[in-house]
Amino acid sequence: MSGALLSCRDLAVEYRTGGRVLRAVDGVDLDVEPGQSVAIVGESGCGKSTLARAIMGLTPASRGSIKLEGRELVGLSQRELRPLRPAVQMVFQNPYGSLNPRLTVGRIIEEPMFVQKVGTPQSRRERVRELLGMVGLDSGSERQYPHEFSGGQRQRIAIARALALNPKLIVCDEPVSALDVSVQAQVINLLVRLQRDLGISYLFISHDLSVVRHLAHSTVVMYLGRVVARSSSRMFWNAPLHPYVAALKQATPTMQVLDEGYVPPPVLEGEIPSAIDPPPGCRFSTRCPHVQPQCRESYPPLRPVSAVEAVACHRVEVQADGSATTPWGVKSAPAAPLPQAGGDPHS
Amino acid sequence: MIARATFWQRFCRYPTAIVGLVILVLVMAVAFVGPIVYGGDPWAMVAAPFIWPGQDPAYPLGSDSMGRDVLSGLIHGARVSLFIGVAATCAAVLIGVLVGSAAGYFRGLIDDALMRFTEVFQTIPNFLFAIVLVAIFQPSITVICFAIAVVSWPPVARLVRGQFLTLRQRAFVESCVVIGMSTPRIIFTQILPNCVAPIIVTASIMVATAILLEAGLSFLGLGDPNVMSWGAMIGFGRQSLRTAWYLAAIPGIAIQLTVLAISFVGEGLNDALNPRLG
Amino acid sequence: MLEVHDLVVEAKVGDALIRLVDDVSFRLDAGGTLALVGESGCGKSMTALSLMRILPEPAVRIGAGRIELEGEDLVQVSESRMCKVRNSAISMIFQDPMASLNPVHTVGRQIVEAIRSHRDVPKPEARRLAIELLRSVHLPDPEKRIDYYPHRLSGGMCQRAMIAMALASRPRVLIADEPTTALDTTVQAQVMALLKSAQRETGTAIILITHNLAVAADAAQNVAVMYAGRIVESGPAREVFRAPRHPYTVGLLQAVPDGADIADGAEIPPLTEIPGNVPRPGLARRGCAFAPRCPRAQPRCAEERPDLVLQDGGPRAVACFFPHEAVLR
Repeated sequence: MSGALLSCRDLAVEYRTGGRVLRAVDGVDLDVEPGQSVAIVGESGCGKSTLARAIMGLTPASRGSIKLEGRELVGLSQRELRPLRPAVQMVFQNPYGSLNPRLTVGRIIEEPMFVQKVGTPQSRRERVRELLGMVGLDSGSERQYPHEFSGGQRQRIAIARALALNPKLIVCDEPVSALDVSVQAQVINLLVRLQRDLGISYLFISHDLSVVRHLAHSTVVMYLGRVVARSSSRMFWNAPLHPYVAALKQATPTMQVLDEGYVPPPVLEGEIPSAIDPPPGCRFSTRCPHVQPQCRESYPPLRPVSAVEAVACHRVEVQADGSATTPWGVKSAPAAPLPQAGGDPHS
Repeated sequence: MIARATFWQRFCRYPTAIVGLVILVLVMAVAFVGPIVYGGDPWAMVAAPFIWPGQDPAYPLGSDSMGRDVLSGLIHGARVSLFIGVAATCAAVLIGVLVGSAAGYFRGLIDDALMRFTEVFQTIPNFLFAIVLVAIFQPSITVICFAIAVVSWPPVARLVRGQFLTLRQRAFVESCVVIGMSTPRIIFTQILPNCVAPIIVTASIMVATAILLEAGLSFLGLGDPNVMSWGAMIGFGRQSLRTAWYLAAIPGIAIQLTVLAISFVGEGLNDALNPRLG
Repeated sequence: MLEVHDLVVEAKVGDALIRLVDDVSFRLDAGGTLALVGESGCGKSMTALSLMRILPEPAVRIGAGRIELEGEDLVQVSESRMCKVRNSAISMIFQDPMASLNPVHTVGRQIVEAIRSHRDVPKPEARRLAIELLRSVHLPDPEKRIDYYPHRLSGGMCQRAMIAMALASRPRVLIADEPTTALDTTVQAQVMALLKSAQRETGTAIILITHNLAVAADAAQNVAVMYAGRIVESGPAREVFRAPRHPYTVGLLQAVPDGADIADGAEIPPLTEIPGNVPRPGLARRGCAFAPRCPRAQPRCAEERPDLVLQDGGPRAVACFFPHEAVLR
């Protein structure tokens, strides 16, 4: 899609360890539209964090392309990336490690503007106060140090810093995973509000499939370096086609356990295989409850199975009416068209 | 989290640290103010030789083999010893920080090369190397400081490298890369300030070691011949160790007290500068 | 079977003595599961550590209260008696399984040590028992893995090994302190299923410490919700989560993503925030600790502190002057 803000094609990140190759990210295609949120979900070893770091230029990509507003980022040096930095910023997972403990909050938020030589000291200080207000912290905070704030407040500071350069895209790497439950809601609601007011896009990395629904316009699920399912439908959660996504959903604890007639879902056995030596064929074949011989022989490509969903599974079938089904009874209805850019994912 | 004690509260948790600080302040007072108050030239032969301490009220600590006032020597020597201790340490820290930060930040080949270089210096016995350097370049305060710095910097480099390797991975450093900060700025404004605490603690101990090294060099006659230092005094007293042992003992005790005081202060600093709970 | 009465855990910070656990009482029935639920700083982990008497003394210690395990008050017993109680009558597993195992000993050695610490069994026999234990927790290839060092095992496998070690002596009580938080989602489900089946087999009662309400709802019969060192609501898990009374419990349940399927055209219910922050431990306060964040707070709440009171004769209890009445689910 040429209108996309961020566009990754066949992106790969490889590490060499002792003569063998670890493909942390192995051929990922991704698009983020302006004003939209894309969630990337997966467990450890799936490559989601590495993907985020490659997009941010923190880890070099081994193969493929990352285009930001049409401009290619792969292969650029840090110096060449510098003028492009304001467009893409990042919020990190650990609220306790992502802020320099020796700087005041005001200085931390001002730093991006200072480094990119934006504005005057006066205007920067104004902007710091403006940003603090945007994230719901009072202006006295600028003189305080990070250790005086709670985890949730530190993430707000990190968000304020990410906003300082007016980015078009913010990559959020598990921003709420380390926070208390009641605070997670605060931060997620803040992110949604900022998107509505400022039109920013998010690339939201998470391990929790149930949380991303509240924020994402489309969801990408990764397993062992590859995308196994992609959907821009809110009904994605209702009827996941790919067996791994279904297993993830079933394994995610929710309050559904209290409902009448709740049947505990089957527990997925086995371990996540090694990324250095992935299984031949479909990488999920070692644990998949619906595995067939063809799954072990050939890798299923990621193919669109409906207007809003793409799946990498041999056994998902596309029906004539535009829906997709699986032999074990999952049926995914043809879904509503993509929501409007900048719209609330809830509506 | 629970409110933290202030720097001083943490420092004063060790009574030894307070004692050490008091002694150190005294020594520094003697070093700065002493020569002005007490006056005189420690090299001047003002008295009969080998007067014992307490024998003559004009010379409270007695006189040495050449009739020089021991107390005068002690006071002037304080200045020299402290100066060399601090100057050599500053130089060593500077070298160590430069080498260690480069190795720890850039890693890879640069790290390997710099660490091999560091190892070369670390494996040569400190004292012998210092002797060689001073002997080659002729003894003077500058050369002595330089020699001590050259043998003392490797531990600082290793410490700084270790800190950089750890801190470099931290999210707040990566967040600076993400906003487009240049590498030197990251090293100096982001990472280094977070290393300062262990460097200060190490440096404080290094001052003590430097004083001891200087004393050793002077004892062997490799000190600056124009300057009276505590080590030199011990050196002069070497000949008369069996009869006038006070000549070696008095400066020796002064060195010992100062070094001990610095160690205690270093211990207190270690805790006070450590940004942990309570 | 296990009854805790008015437990107080204090920490000495500078000159002040602050209460990390403030008058906590609960009971655990034989073979049952009690979930202690709360966010960071609520005191749930400190409560667990005090049950085993492994608080980081002398900075943190039990200030008052009784912990009665089958009639014996563990607060009063000697350290040597407590050593016998630990890992035989009460066991514990921790959040980070990799950190709970000694990295320089093989897994097998650690399990054998655990077995032989309370049973007089020769080493070859203990090793055989260890392999059986690992097999019972579904660790694949236990004969091989018993000689692995912890770093070669995944997080899930380490946690299984920890469960095996903890249950080796068939303890009366197993304390599980956030046993799945550090694990991947699919592995979490495996470990929780394992805990449940192990409980069925050994009849061990479990105290499950978690911040995840859904995990508590799934695994526990009874739940105690903690806030700022106190229990604010307790009772049978199903009832507490379907019809919570305390405003904090209500707020927590509304802040958690609901797992319901979304009907076509319907809205995803938004996550409701609880404004403000979890209070830091130690701030002395009058009145209810939750009052500053409570949407139902009245002037009385800032003045008086509500006690945990039984509702309608029990088993539910709430510490609130103005509890909710409605049913959420």
